[in-house]
Amino acid sequence: MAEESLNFTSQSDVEELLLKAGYLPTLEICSVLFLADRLKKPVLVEGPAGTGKTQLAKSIAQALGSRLIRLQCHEGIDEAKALYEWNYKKQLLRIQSDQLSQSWNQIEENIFSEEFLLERPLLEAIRADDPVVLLIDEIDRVEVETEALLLEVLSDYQVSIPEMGTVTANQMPLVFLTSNNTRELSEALKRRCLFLYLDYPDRDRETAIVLSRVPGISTALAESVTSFVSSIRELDLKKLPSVSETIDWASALVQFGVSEVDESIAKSTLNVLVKYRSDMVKVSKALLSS
Amino acid sequence: MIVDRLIDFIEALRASGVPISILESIDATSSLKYVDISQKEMVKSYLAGSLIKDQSHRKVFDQLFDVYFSSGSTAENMTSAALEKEISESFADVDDDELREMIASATQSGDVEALKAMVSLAVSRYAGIEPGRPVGGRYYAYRTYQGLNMDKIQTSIFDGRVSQLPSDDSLGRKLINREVELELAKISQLVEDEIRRRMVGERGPEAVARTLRATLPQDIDFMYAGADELNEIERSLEPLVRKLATRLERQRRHGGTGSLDYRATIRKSMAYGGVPIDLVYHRAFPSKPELVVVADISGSVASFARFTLLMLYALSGQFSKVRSFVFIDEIDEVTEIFDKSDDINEAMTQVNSRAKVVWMDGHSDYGRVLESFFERWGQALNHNSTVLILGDARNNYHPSRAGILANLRMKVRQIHWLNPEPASYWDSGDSIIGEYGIYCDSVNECRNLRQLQSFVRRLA
Repeated sequence: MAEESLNFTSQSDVEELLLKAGYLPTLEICSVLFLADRLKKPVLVEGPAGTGKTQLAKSIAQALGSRLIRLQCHEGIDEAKALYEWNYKKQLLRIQSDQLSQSWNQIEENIFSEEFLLERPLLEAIRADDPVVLLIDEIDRVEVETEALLLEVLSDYQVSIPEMGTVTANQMPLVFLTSNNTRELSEALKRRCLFLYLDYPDRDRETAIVLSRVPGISTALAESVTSFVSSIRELDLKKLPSVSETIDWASALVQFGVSEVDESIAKSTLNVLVKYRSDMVKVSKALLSS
Repeated sequence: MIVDRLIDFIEALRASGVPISILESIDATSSLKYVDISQKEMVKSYLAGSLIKDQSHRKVFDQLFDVYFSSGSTAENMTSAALEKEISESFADVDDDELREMIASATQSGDVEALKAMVSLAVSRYAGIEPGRPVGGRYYAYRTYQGLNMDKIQTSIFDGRVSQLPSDDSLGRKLINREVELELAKISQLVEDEIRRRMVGERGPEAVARTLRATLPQDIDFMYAGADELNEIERSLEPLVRKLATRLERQRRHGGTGSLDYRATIRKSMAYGGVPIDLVYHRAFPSKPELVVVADISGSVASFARFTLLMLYALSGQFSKVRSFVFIDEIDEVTEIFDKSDDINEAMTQVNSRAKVVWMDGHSDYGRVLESFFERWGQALNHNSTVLILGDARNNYHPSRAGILANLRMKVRQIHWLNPEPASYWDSGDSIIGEYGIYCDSVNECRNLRQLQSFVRRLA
């Protein structure tokens, strides 16, 4: 097992690091990250689309100066894409070239060695010598059976390769899993992780996010932007505006030289925030007298 | 000490249906090593991160956490009781209107400490908490709201903010109105917290946890849910349906193989001299049933019908067709309303206003409805139709005419009855579910989302 290596000195350290990377954390985010570092557990981040789940992993990697290794999940992902694969073409070449000079035993020993191993993200993260952050994105897209592939990595930070033996982590990577909650994850997976739910930010936090991400915006405009957006999120829409859409809208308003959101402005720029026609009708009906 | 309390807390969570494994409780316990125990919010976030792995469990967690960890030791309670007394004495000459104003202005300025003190005063003054009286906190909260007159507070905060706006800014008014509602919800929350804290101090956490009856959204009873709880069910319906749809879709796509294809197997065996080495199977095409939903929408079971229809329409891709009928003592087809509208909630409102479901007195009459249904739409049903009947079979002592259901059963593939009443109430009073049940393929108790979900999974 790898020696004790801590990424954070205290919980306020987490907060400072994230702020430095331009990510405004909540108390809950800091707590769970700090705890994950101390308990050596992966973090399962869940929540609606566009609330900064992936960004959280990116920001923490940036703040710690670690390398981010990302495994984008999709249906049909398997061992060969997630863990490792033998480079069989190279193995064949080796067998052919060694055929005359070496005995079979020697060849076999040779072709199942590191030289012929193709690292995929999970193994790469385990074997890395430098500090890394491992991001397993959209875990809910893989089938339940495939989830089992991850369990060994997530609980013991090791990968078993039948031909070679077990590869154990040189250092504990920080691991993030994100999920859009389209499927129930297995109990086994959930048990091994700490859980963090990222909802849409409340108004104060979103205002702070807008202020930090949109250059030249006034506090008054930022407040009226987030007030409008958070009212939209109360409605029953097909797709709620994400944080990045709030930021886009705010930047657009700054470009237009608007100082405060009023009805005509909201009406003419609504398509930045709301992407479905039926949703637009609903927003207009509820908030804008048309 | 704190670990004992944590263990009690975990027990209470499990009793409410939140699954917590041993590994998770160990994580929670070790997480306490890294946190200053006097920091309640911090402790809460640590425990939530290690114990709760499903956001729909979070509300129950929050409720129980407040019960088990909000009040401190007995000594602390003594001082806080003294403090309560001091507050109510020093503000004894503040009358009700002034108290309202103080709460409104504390809300305006965002002064949480002052607001808490005012709320504590209001609770002392209006709730009338009597030690040892076995009532739930809701009763006390209700009395406090009445005494405070929350509407007046709302108007006062609203007027204060709106006065700064130009008079023609209707968007601004709407936004402010919503913000004020949020502020008010915060005040209500403070009131409830304060009452809970006092009750825990008096009775101990276990007793309060029992009266709290913290329920997961999927276990809330449709028939007895209050308005808040109905909203909660509705909120948790959407992710639940999404998960169910993904799952059914995958099952369909990766569904097992069908029966052995003898012809193709023999043909293939030719290549091996007649030995059937490769077996060939028919591809399985699980047929999608055509659903015919017949729903009682009279008062007592309306919300059950609503949730069932919401769920079935959200899953309509899993069925070849969904036809829906609603009735009280007359039946009407509403398929078209659902087909035309792309918003289910709006469609439900239209169903309530447009469908002709009352014939005589607006009391459910299953016998009459069955007769009318069979006469008018019986021709359109065939062996590919699966009929779902939603209702409590409380027939107000009208004749059952169960024979019609028997005839119906001959025409269709299956009939399932979903009854939102607890099974122990069936066939008592005017419930005649037993008379109908013998002609149904299954009669299912469907009191909550969990049961509804498991039925739909079997159906699709």
